[in-house]
Amino acid sequence: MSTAARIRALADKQAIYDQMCRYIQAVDRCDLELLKATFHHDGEVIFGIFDGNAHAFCDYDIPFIKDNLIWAFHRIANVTIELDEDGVHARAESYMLGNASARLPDGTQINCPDGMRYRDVWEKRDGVWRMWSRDLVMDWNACWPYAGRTDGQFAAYRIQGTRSREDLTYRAGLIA
Amino acid sequence: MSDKNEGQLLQELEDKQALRELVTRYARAVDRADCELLSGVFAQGAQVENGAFAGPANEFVAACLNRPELERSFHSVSNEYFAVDGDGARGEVYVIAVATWNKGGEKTDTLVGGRYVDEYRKEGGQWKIARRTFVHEWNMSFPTTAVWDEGLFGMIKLRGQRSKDDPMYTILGGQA
Repeated sequence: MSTAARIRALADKQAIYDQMCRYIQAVDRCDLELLKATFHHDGEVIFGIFDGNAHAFCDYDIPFIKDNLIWAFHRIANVTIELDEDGVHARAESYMLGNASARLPDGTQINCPDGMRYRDVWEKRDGVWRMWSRDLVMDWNACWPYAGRTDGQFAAYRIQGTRSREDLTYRAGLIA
Repeated sequence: MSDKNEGQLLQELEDKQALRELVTRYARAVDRADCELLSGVFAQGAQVENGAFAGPANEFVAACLNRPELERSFHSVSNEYFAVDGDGARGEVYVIAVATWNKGGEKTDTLVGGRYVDEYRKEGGQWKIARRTFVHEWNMSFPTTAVWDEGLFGMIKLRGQRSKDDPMYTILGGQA
């Protein structure tokens, strides 16, 4: 492989990894426009909660998250990216070990950590990698009593993550 | 500052990328119980020390896949740190392993946090694990509370499998 091609391959994997992080930023901050920007407009998803066009999924997913999860924290790892020889497609797996809080029908707040994986096909158009497809695979989940506290030592955490442009990530200029 | 030239820097970036992919492939292999994939991550004569097991990697592979009480596992790896020296390397990788065990119908979820302290060797141009030692840090056990058939989690129809029926095999090559 030429030096140029080797650099290109590293940069392509980094660009896809960055977009994977972008997707999580969008979901955890409930940022619809940012979420859409990680998909091609004609992309597709199989999430179970929604199967079909990727941008229609985004329109469905953000209100769904707001309605069902009090907060969510998605942490990705184990990123495998296989670049296709055409230079504009890639297939990828990533692990997501997350935590979220929800309310049971009786109003009880719970913690529901989960272990999921994303199955993706990526496509580069006009120099930008976006998802052509993303499917959600469930490996594990749990429903634990909610044990979060805001008193005692935890009262010292002055900055709380939010689902608005007031979140520090926006104020730090990391999301336009 | 580095006194390496650009060619050496590019090589180092590629080596670290390949090592990240290697430790991720290990996780994928054990979580999917994929014997062929797992065998392929180890160098000739590799040694493994992992909890109750200490010995040659080929015996570890057989023991690892013969665990009837293990219903599912999810090895989330991060903090991959590598020191590369030519065709050899050493590394440390953090892992949180989530697993569900079924012992006589009673299901338990375990979370184990620890580190892999590794030695790697390049064989035929491919990075392999030459020695892997697991360092335990913490663990938790809970009665299984997973929800598979109802609510939000019940909608997610793609499920992880400890076999080649796992959804990821449709997109990823079984590269060893």
